[in-house]
Amino acid sequence: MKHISDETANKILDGEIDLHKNSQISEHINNCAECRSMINVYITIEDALKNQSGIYAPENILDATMKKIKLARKRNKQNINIALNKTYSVIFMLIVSAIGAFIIAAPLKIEVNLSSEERLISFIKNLSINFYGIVAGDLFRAGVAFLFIISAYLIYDINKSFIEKAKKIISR
Amino acid sequence: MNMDPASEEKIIKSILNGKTDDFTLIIKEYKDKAYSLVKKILKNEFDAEETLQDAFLKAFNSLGSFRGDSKFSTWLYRIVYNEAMTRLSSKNKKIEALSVSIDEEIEMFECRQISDYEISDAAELLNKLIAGLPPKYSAALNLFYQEGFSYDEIADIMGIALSNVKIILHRSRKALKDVIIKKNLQKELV
Repeated sequence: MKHISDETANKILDGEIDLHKNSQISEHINNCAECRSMINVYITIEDALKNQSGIYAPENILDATMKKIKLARKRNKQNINIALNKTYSVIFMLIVSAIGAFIIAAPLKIEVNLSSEERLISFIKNLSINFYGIVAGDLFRAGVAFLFIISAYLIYDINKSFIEKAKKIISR
Repeated sequence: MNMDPASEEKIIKSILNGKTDDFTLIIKEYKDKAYSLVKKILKNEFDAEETLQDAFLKAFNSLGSFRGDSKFSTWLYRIVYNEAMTRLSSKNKKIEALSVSIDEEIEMFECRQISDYEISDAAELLNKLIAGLPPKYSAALNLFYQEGFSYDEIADIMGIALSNVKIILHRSRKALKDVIIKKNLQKELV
């Protein structure tokens, strides 16, 4: 029989070859000093690797890591806050634009000579005119207002999971 | 001391619920083992410390994505291993002259002078020998012998095929054996 290869020796170490069941190999090892010596070196290495003492991390690693984590969280919260505020601002601006588009659906006619009470009544009347105007057919302007509202809703909906996650992170 | 999976799960839940300081329990549990792995890959204390901190930070940030499909230790070691390999590749990019193939590294390892291994302590000798191996090899040895991970778990951590894990372990043991026989170091190792 040829000398035992490194591959076979490794298979013996891994338990893939059982020497009790493979008499040809075990006999060869018993009779061949060279192969026996090689297997012994492998066993010595394996034992040494198994019994190797661990390496200890530097003592400050815990504090340094926690400091890093807290700093990163602080920065992360700040960034999330900025992103959240930007999202809210866009939604708010779109809602304001929608209201604006609704109000200017028909130009307001406010008389200068009226008292403040009469001006308010006139304003409300104009608003209802605007509303009837929309119903009556000022669909273009109403459409613009509707688009703004839809955009605000879509932006909220797209960013919903982000907003929820952001709120969670900020509250942690 | 080994933390059982149930306690780990409790700690993870508590961290995710806002108790950030509970992450110290995770760090305390894994810092030495993870440091050992990182140091064997990077072969430098300063880099190992920095990398381990970054790896823990990454683990903290992605704790929510841990689904429990694998053991927590496997998940954590995957992050630590990847972080160390990323640091290593960025270092190698900086020093391009040092980036040699694994075969060349093994050859260099076997050709080292005997004086490199003139050490009194067997453990120290083994550490020196392992430190001379290519990073992937010493990492695989560390995960298998020190941490007791199975071939499957090592494949998962290192992101390689199971057959490659076996090849790496076989080649590491063979490289160690060859250098020990060549330099006649059997006695020192016992």
